[in-house]
Amino acid sequence: MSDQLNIRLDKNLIKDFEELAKYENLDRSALVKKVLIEGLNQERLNYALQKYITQEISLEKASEIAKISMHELIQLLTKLGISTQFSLDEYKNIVDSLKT
Amino acid sequence: MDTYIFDACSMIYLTKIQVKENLPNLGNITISTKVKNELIDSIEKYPDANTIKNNLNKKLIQVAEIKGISLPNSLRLGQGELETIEICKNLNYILVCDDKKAYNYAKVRGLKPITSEIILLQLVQKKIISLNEFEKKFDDLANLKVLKQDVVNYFKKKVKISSKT
Repeated sequence: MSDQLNIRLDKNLIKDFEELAKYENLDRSALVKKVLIEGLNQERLNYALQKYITQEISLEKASEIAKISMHELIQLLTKLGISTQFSLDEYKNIVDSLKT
Repeated sequence: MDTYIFDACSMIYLTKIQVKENLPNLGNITISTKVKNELIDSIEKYPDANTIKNNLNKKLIQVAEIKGISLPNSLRLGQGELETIEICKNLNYILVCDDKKAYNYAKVRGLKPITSEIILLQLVQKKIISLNEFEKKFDDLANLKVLKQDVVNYFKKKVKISSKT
């Protein structure tokens, strides 16, 4: 089911879309939709990663926001070199708490 | 026998370093329904998801269900994490949780969660895996979780001390 969204764009931006649409052999609307969807997915992911890195949300919450599986998110975090967030002191506290 | 309940990320990490088959020697292994759905998501794309599904079918991993979550809702945690913590609280299971936010949420509610690094330590302490196996698997885990060198050094030293006692 679709709905309509009207937005005003800069003339140069519209010209860029039309130019690329010609190269990709798409009509302008199809290209705009494609870019919007890809852009939205990327924006969701960027937002989720930023919130995770700043420890505002959990890993699973990040996966929910980004709409990607936990498997994919974990793979991505490893690839980007984003460390899990426990410090050495926190690990030591966990180990020490097991003794009590 | 103890029952361990895992969140999605800890189960994925332990599956990736091929320790999952050793877990039943530690105790009963459980996940929540929501976590199960997350773990077998994208099964066609991730072999780990298939491995977990096979273990579910063989009943090496049990699934615990709850009717609702009574814990205060958190916009900062995922539903699987909340479910897991709720089950742990109700049934007195040992929570294995590799996410710091979820870990702290559980701690504030009186739980004593552990992480996948601790699971590896326990596997050596209970002689389920050897010291050599621990070293290799810990290196794999460290790469996956991008652990800092001081953390790696700490656990490797810890395991050597505990294997001598």
